[in-house]
Amino acid sequence: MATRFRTTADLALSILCLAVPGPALRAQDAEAQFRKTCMSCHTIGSGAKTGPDLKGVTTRRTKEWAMAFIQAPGATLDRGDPVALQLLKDANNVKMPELGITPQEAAALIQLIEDFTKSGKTLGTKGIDRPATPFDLTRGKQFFEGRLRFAQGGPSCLSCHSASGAGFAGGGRLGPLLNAAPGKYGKNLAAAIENPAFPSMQGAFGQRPLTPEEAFQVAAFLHSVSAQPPPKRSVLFPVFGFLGLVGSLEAGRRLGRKRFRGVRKNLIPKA
Amino acid sequence: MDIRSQISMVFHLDKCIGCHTCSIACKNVWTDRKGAEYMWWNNVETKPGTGFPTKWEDQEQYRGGWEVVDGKLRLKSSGKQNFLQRIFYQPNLPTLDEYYEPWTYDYANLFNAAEGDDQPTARPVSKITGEFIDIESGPNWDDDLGGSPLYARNDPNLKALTEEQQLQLMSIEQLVMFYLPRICNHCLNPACVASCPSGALYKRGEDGIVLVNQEVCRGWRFCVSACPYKKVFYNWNTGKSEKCLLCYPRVETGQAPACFHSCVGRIRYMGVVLYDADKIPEAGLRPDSELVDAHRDMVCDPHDPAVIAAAKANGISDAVIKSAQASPVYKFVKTWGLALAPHPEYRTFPMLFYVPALAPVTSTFDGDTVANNVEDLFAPLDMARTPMAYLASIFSAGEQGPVRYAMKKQMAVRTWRRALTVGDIDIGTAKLALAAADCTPEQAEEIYRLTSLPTFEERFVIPPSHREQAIEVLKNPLENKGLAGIGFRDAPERGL
Repeated sequence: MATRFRTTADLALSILCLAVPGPALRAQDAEAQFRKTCMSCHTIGSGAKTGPDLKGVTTRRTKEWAMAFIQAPGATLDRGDPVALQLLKDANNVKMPELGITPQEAAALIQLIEDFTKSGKTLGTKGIDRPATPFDLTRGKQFFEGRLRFAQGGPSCLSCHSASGAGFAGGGRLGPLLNAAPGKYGKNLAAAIENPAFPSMQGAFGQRPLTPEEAFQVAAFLHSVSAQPPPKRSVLFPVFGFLGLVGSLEAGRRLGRKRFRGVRKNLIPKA
Repeated sequence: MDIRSQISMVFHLDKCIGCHTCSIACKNVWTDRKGAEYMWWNNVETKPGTGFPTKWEDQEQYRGGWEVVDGKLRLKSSGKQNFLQRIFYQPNLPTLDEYYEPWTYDYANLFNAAEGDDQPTARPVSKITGEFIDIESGPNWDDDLGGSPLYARNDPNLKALTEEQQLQLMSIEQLVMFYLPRICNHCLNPACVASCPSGALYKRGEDGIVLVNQEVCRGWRFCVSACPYKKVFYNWNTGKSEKCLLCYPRVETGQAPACFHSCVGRIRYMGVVLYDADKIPEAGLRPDSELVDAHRDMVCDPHDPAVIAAAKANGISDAVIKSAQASPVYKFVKTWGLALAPHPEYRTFPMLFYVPALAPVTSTFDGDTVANNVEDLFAPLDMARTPMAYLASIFSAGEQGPVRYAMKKQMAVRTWRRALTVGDIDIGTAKLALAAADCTPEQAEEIYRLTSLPTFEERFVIPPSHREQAIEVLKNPLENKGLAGIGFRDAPERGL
């Protein structure tokens, strides 16, 4: 291995190059991580959402407690930790999900919160807080059904979810029925939609999130239907999806049935 | 009358021994380059067989050549409607599998292999990827009926035969084959030229050689699709198409092309013919059964004063007219009616003609016995081992008349010569045979001489190209007269 570096100076330079960008990158990573996993329920310095505002959390709790809670909130609760129980009560009994955060990530996140607290910067918004107008409800419904496209091009809610009064044949069955979502997240529903902490939604919306306005309108629509009985789930929705797939495959096959498929290899009998 | 000159060719298949010397000569001169390894501008096929690329004659698959639609000639491969749709994707191109993956062998291993229990081998290496491959096909994979149950059985021309005839043809006792050497036909109505969106392909005015201008070609590959003989090839290294250029640098200096020159069986003849280009549009629309006649009709008699006058009016030089008068091709095609163009039904009017091969009956399979009939060497045509319908499918668009005429005449000439030299056939019988084949003893002697004993100059009657005149169009040859002859053709790029 050492023979590949012609001089000691080369080797030293290489090591230096590898070592220097490390810490800088980690701060960026931590912020991205916060946006991805934490921001749907927490802010730094913008007020409480589903979970508390994390500004100055290291002054309120010990680092060890924070480290343990971030990595395994359920275990801390099960242990009967009084602080954790109080937090659960404050958060309307919404449990913090197990996010699978590693000790290194947890340390970086705590460092990030300390940095932001010290410098007075904020991360995250409290979300739009105004009464929903009928216009918001209509727009929200249209977004939900995919009649309006999200500004960043994210898929419509109906592809996977269902809600009363929206869509056709009961809607998608991949995700849960969303009638109950407002009851669970309350006024923080919009934030949960804007920065979803759910792995499958992160896959679909990670690169093209909803704008705060869009999230607010969708949430407003969900609030408006939360009291209604759940829609009748019809088997037609997946059936139509499947038929559409088969139909388009068949159409492609028919359109291309005269295409050149090679000559010599077709002469040879298949073994 | 629009008389033009065309360097034209005859291949006498009865003399072809299938040695591939022509192919090797061509490969060594022209296609021994990166990107051209798979090309065989000249190749030799065994018939019945699928040829190179596999089943090139199956235009249902490759969509080459012309077709008549609503009384108009139209390219099968593309038209005004689907032109844009195909410009980035040619749907009917042969793939590398239809040509073959060119390979060499890892010869170094024979010398460098570590000592071991086994003999070292030279494994085949792809010339395209450089990786070891298992060879699955080659440019003459079905040579000498190799792989007949697969390749010979799938010859598209066998469709002209009944199922029973096909089975007979494939039975061991009836097995028959002949060779079909192929180069670019330098057609009168070339589909490749018509299809090129860049205008890179052109037919030379002076001798009708079809060429691809490498500076204009953009590699759209319309020509590869359009040529029904699949004799335009795409060079994957340069990104341009190339094809047989009839060794024009040799032809222009009075030499026969490399494949002609090297031919062991001396089957190849070359000469100029004069043709009437005005007749092409009408001839292209004739029904299949009349195409052979329409094609022959275009070729004009170079002794006819009207033709000579029209030729001169078109700027054809005396030397070329004189050469056309001595052309062996004219004799084979027009005077004797022995030579036929391959697949006239593609309507490109190929200017390479073939004298179909005789396959005399030497034995017949009669139920369960094989009878040798050496006595009756020149049996009636319908006893010939190669069915006439099969030959007609290749050489006369299914119309058996022209093929029968050519075969009959060849047999009559043989009968005549046998009567003269061996003497076991009565001269009277031979004369009757000649008369029946529309031939006279004098013509028979001429055919015999040009077939069996032609000199080099009789086989290749190549007109002077008069390059010294052609250059006058571009440059004044007297420009440097009286100068010392020292200087530059192009000024050096420096100074000033």
